[in-house]
Amino acid sequence: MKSVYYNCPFVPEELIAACGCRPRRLVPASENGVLSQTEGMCTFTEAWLESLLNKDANGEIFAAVFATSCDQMRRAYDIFLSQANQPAFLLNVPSMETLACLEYYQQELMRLHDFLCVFSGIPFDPTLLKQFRSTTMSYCQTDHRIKIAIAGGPVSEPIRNELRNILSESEAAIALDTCEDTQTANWQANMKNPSSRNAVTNIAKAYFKLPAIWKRPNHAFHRDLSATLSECNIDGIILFRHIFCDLWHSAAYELKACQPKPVLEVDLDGKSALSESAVSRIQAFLEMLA
Amino acid sequence: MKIPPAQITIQEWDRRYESLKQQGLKESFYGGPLSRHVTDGDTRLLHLKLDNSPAALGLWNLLLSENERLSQYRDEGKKTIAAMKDLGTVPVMAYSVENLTAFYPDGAWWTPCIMEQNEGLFELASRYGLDESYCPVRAMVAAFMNCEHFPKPDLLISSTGAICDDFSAIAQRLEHLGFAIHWWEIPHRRKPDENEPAVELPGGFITPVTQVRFVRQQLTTVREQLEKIAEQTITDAMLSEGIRKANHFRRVLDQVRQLAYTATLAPIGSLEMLIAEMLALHFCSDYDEAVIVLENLREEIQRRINAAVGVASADVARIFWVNPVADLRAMNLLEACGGRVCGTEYLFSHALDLIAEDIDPMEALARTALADPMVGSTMDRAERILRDIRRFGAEGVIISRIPGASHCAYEGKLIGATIRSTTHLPVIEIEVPTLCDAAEPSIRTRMEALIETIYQRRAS
Repeated sequence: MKSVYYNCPFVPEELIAACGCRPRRLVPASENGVLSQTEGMCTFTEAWLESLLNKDANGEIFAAVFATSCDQMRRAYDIFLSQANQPAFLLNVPSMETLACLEYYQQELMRLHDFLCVFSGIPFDPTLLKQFRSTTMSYCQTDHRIKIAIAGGPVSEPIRNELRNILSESEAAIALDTCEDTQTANWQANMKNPSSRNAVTNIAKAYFKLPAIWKRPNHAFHRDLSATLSECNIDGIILFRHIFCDLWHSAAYELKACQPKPVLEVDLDGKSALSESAVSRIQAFLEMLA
Repeated sequence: MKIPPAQITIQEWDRRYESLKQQGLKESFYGGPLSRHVTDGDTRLLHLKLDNSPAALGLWNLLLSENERLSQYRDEGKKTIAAMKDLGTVPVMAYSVENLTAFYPDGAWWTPCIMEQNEGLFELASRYGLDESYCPVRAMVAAFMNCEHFPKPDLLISSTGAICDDFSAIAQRLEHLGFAIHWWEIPHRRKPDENEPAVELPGGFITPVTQVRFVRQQLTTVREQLEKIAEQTITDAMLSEGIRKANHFRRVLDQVRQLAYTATLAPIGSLEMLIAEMLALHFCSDYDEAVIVLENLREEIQRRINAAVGVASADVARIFWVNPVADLRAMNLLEACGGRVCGTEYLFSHALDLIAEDIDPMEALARTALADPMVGSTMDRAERILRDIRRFGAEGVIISRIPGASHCAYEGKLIGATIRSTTHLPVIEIEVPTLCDAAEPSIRTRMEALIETIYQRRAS
């Protein structure tokens, strides 16, 4: 089965699967980070692009789905097209939550459906939609003394694991994980009318409501997050942002203004481990919360 | 007695002004000696070389008096519309209505340059969470907060969607700080799929009809907001007239660009040409005055061409300039290094193209909005640049990065590579900070190297 790499939460993995492809949400992490850090280019975008180009160079057959959720990815799509031999799709995800934008997003998902079916050579199979069980934000129940919420740009599993170790040393744990890479939508497949158009409509309505820091305006994101933070009894928030990511960097100010819990902003540089200064800052943050 | 064309200092302009007044110079209501702007805080003028023509005097006075005029128009009963990001479409709609004035507060990005950062906008922006990692447009938020640069607008309108991350964050910060914004979505312009109905946009890009339809619906929401503020219906006939007026300006500007960029001797400086092109965005808050200023500039340029005079020798290197500069002084620097600007893409070529007048006005405006080079792929923009390089006969290209701007990290690579592979012209990328004095040695070195390359190619 052919792989389709994506990273944006607004790219529905179930649509990829129902079109006969294997959805692969890619959050790259390498020991050395990006090979050639470009001034101004978000480290996540650059790492993502580098991973895809390496796969292309190694002869892997795949398709890549980019999304317009940030300008950096919009531009990265151009670079991928100019350098890679694999097919790619740019999904236009509207930043406003109006009816016209929902209809536009539905049209875009139908175009994505067409692209995926051509790529896989397999027609849409609605039975594959049933395999997905969706949740909203990831909850991690914890009885630890200090409950931490993490938010921000995609965080690789090695960094999450490293964070868990640091937290456990201070009797802390992740009680709420709202990072971009954990987001997926909650929806029900309507199997009475399993046409692709019907499925796409349902999927679009569910995914369209996902909270996002880049929506305009983004009040819903802060409102929903504040409510969830209260429910989970969070003590502090660690906001991860990739260097040169303007959108998540901007979120730090708003987070601090919109809710009362302390916020620590931690930079990620594309590597699979936290920097020494990031580790020190997290430890100091935990001491403050203790 | 005709004074030869020259680029002079602000002190020399004071003497020139006295001489022009004695000769009976007629000025608009915002006219006067340029040095008064220095007294008001625009101290960067002390480090610039300005064209010595009465036409240039009018141009600079129009630009530097904008904030005062906005306050004056407000006092006279006009409603002020702050259009943000779309760079060229919303003001055409606003100026279709007699009692509306539109401007781009984005333009505050130049205030820290013109006031040499003595006005404190960047520091204030940092207090609102917009530090130096963002592009200089962050000064806009500070200007809204301290109310010291333009009057508080009656309506804020901002495009969102296919825009740069900096601006997206900056505009959201504005709303977070209490300024209500009417948002409208501009999708990423794409090429049509196979057999998908498509339409050609001004400037030559092709896009699906569905995208134009969507943007038209979005601009309808803008129209409704303008009608509320104006307290009157904006008819199609009014919009058509607004488009006709915008096109008149764009035709004159096209003539100015064609004359200035193709003349054997540079008839006017690159700095004045930059300002002239910027007028296309929102007519510097006064359509009638902007047309007068531009027509005067055209006449002066034509006169100089006819007289075979200019501000530089015929052998200076002809440079195509990509992206506007954060520090106006960079344009003087190019000329000091032996170059002149012959062709530009200042992020808003869609504001230079004619808007269709033979179709429904909202359809025409939607097509214009989608023709924005920044809402589509970088390759589209590169194609547009290539066309204009050929049109104006440039010999080299400077891609000027805006500090902190998210799109600049990518574009330079792609645009530069496309230009080199297609035209084999030399291309350099430079970053021009808000005050380029400290970086001048390295910027100058890069420019001189480019110009030397051009001279060597001429010789071979």
